[in-house]
Amino acid sequence: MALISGVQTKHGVLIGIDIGGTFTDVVVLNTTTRQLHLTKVASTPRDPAQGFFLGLECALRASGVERSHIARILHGSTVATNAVLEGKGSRIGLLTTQGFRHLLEIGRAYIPGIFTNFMRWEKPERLVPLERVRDVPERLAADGSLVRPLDEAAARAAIAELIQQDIEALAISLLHSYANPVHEQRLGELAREIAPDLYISLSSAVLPEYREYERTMTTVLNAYIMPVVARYLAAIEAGLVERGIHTPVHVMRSDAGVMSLQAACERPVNTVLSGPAGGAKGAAYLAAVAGYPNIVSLDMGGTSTDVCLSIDADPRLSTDTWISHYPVKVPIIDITTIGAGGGSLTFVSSVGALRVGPQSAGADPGPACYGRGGELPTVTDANLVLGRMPEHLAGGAITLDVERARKAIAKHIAEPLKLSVEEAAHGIIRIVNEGMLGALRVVSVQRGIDPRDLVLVPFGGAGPVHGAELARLVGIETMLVPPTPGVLSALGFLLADIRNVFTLTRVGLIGQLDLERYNRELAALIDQAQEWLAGEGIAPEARAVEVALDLRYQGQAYELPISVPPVLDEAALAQAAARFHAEHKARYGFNQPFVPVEIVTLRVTALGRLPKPPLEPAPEEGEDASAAVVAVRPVYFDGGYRETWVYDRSRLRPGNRIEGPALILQADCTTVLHPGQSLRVDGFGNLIVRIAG
Amino acid sequence: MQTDSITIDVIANGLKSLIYEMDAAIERTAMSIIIREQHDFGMSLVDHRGWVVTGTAFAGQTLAEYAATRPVEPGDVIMFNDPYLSHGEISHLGDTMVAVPIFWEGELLAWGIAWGHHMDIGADAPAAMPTQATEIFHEGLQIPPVKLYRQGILNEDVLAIVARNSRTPEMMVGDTLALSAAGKIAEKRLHELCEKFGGAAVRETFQVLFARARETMRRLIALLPERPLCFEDVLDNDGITDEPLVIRMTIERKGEKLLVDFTGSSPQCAGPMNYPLNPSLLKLRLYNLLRLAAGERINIDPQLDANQGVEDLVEVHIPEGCFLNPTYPAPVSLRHLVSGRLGEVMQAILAQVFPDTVPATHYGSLNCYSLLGVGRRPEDRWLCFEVTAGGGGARPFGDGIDAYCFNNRLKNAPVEFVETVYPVRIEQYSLRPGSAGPGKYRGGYGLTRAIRVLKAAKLYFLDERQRTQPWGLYGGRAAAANDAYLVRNDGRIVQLPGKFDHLPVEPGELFVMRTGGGGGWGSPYERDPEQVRREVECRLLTAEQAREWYGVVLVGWPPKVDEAATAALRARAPVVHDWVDRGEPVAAPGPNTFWELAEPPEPWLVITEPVGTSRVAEIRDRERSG
Repeated sequence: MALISGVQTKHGVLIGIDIGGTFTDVVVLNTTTRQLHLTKVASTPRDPAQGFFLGLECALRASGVERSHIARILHGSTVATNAVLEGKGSRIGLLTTQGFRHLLEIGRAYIPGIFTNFMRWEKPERLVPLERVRDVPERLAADGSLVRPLDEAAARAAIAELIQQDIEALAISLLHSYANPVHEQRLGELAREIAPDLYISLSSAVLPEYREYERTMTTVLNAYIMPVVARYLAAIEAGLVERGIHTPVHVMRSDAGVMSLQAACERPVNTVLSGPAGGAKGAAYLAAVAGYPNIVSLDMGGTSTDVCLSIDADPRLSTDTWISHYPVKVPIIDITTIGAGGGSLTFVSSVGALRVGPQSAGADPGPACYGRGGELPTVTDANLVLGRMPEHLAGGAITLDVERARKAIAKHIAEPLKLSVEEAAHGIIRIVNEGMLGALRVVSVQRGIDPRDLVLVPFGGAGPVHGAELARLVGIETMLVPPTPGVLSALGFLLADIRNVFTLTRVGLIGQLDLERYNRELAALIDQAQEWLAGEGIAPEARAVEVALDLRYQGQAYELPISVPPVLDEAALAQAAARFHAEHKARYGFNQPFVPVEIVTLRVTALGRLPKPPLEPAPEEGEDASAAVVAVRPVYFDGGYRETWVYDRSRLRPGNRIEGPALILQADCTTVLHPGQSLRVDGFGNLIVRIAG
Repeated sequence: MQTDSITIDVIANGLKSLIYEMDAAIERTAMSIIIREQHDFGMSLVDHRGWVVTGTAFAGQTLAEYAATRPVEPGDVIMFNDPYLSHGEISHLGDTMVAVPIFWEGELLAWGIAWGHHMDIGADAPAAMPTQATEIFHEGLQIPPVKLYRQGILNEDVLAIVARNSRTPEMMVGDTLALSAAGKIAEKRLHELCEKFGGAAVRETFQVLFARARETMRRLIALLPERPLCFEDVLDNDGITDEPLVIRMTIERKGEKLLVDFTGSSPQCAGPMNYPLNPSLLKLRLYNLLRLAAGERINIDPQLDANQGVEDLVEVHIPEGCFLNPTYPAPVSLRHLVSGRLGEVMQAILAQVFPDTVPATHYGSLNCYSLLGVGRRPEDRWLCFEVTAGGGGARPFGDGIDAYCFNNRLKNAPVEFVETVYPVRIEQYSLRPGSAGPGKYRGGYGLTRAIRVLKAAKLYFLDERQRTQPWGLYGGRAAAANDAYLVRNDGRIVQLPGKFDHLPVEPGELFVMRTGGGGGWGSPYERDPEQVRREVECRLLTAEQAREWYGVVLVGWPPKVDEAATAALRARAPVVHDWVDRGEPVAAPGPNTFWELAEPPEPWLVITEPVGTSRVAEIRDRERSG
């Protein structure tokens, strides 16, 4: 077969490797035989590459795939994120414009949180301490014109001082560099002259968009993790060669695309949420193939729940993400994290209110039912007491102690509130679900989307336990549980396309634009995108370039991206403005057609289509699912226990139908079907749940 | 109780969620940067009597009175900004309240309310903050409670009047509609809760939430001693008369109740520094502050909202004729500065009882300025308005917050945003060295912001704590006060008073604000010398300040701590008797007084040579050599 996208697909084995905090998941998909193998090994946080190769070798052994048959490896890891969360990035320096040396110290002069505690909040450590920040005499105006030339002598001295402080990477972020990168580029050259091995990160390259604090922070983060990520990826590359594997490796991006190893080394800040991006992409893709392009995915784990909307099979992106205390303005899947998961602690507060979270029992001691010394009840304990989870998890590796769970709930919840243990446990579930409903509504109002128009796709260990009830609360009619909710991220990697985004802030009022200049700059961005795709080995026929303008009402501080043709003319701009008014109305409930519309940023997305694993539905068999029944047990639903059929998911066949109440068990998660709800197994092995009103 | 406790909590969480949803909606739909970026807005759910159930602090007596005297129907939306008709619930004209009555089964159940600070509502100065007003009629359009919507139909005539009275009519309309839409969200969600659980259960939940707040407040009050606790602080002046304004507050626990008394505070003033202080709102503030200061001692439920369940536990006495209880039509437009200082006074009172949790005070201003373009063409009449941060007070466990705004939710506007929208260039935006109050834990650093005006404009400014220093606590020292300057094109440096309007500024002139720091906490001689050394290396302190303020002796560059000399100096640490250090009076120009300086104050700007049309450094050099 021919080379497609520079990737050899002769033997068609795709491998996705997702290194998470606890487990490393490996998915091996043989596109010829259509066999899918899943492997889970423990992660090795001290040396993640070790876990990578351990997982890879286990997976190859288990699947019997030969090394030479591997067409492509797609990889995502927590290396970049952990470096930030644990403060283990590199020693870096920062150059700013004179007068703005304290840019990071000031930030947006904002204390996070809605009703904030000004007495207690402490300013987090900056990633680059003030000792290693230097300001250089230079200044550009908002339009990129020169106000004050760069003082090269002063700049050399500043760089030399930073290098004396043993910095490994240098971030350079000057005012208005998005409008004109000339001074940043010159500083980069000077730094390379002085220290050829220095990692350098220019804000005009990482994120050429206005808002100096956010751009600088993103650039600093990029510099901070650059050496760490580069070393890690070099170890992966070397290890693969050592094992005789010469397949290209692609790295998952936080915007649900992938990029080459080389690109990832230059822009590691684009990989900070690769795991969740894989999960969201996997959920969106599988649901779209099954006929549901618009979904809300719900990844409920031990300590928190990630919510993400996907429209037309693509996860929505946001440029307003925070990693720990730091804003990251590059496009990242639009995830909202809710501080409630299976391990969330539950208690009765000083005024007799039942509270859940935000504290979590974590993995250790874990919920009371783990029997590892956890005293306070958790959401998992409540599910267990209600019979909604089996006593054995992970194929029997973990046994849960129902009695401990009952005792914890009795002591800490039921007795203080004078309820039965079941009522208390059910109360915990109601409070958790209500909290998620509220969070989902905030997500929706912020995005201007009605969640009732969407299909809910729950995954993660606890997602399918709560999904059906949450869907009912929200008013969602359909829930889709994918076949492998536990390893969706790694699978999602296999479904992603090569992607990168090129932006340029150019503020101008529609109707008063120098169109020639805008088209020249747009063409340059498109060229840049095409060149990048060529560099990534994408054949011309597999390339796509999408152009959008971030528009806002004049003087307003928020923008909406609106798609436009690659060449702008008056008609195209008028159409874009009209669509902006419509989109504003749709999202925010009002628009102001009499206010002029401004272009803020030109946005060009480069896409390189990678061949996808073939997904075709298996023929549907009969409706009778009784062959999959493994047990009958009492499960508590509203007001009492119901005898409930328990099914083994691996024995369900396409076309099978199940009426609720029912539990569907699989190795890493349980799907709860409530009374009055029903489900059907589709040709792809998804559970399609119909939620009754 | 008719409804089970779990259902009550499910409803209570639903109410909290609707507030978050309103919050998100306003932030995303309002137009002015004061609301969107600087978060000067709030939203609450209020019961049929006008009592706040949950959300940001507000009192709804106005709404209750409106509903008692005039028909209110589903689909109506009420709006007002009148401080006197609203009993100070809205306390200056810049804030507009929009309230949506929520009916269930034919009865008024609640109100969904949202307020925001508009960019402009007319008045003698932009942003609704004239500093020279002597009557409320000088402060902009007064809107008594009127119907913005009548049974679902927008009253376009009202909106037209409001728009016509604003320098920024589109924003005025956009913001008003955004607030109204947020109120509608409350209505929709409350209806859903009523459908699901019944109106009775929702009403019962309101009662439970009031009872929870009351019970929590009762336990908090019990922590206070049964003796008068008092503190007094001053505001510089009212912008017109050169007299300080005194806030004197005394609180005393009497059994289960708390008495609050403002006897001894200054009388009503001529300028706009009067503050129609609403007693119910004050109670909510006290409750919030007590929760922060002492909540941990009673293992407080961290998710409780403030609501008016606390109403009967506190009695407030504000003398007639006091500037905190002004008589119509006294001007009130700068009342937020008074409100801020009042918060400091309350903090100082609680610091006497809870020394282990309450911080020293912050910079004590909001450093608001407006630049209004002048010229005959519409595009010449641009309006740039900003609020600036200062230093936060040091805490008993750690340093104060640098670049902190005491309106917690406020965010500064990015320099690159301001410069793309307005004809200004911000040449320096940095921490202000030496401004933090020294202490074992230092206060936060104030800021220096230097704004070059590129087109002819008029400057409006309001500032506070130019004449007194932000106080430190328990050995911590007072911090630098606020000040501001205008560097004229002819090189003169003019120190500006705290409150003025209409100052003509030529293109090229430079407006410089230096905002105050936060007070320190604990003796500076107990501060880790390494922390002091770091700040000298980072040029936030000088070596002299390290020695004089902290007893830390440094040698060489980069500086090193001379341990022996430091120990010797620290052995002679001064003895501090007072629990509060108010520092010294600070010289600053009085109302309508502008001081020409012989040389710039220290520390001045870091810009090493002229930027654009700047002649700052040149002037400085000339001054020095001369």
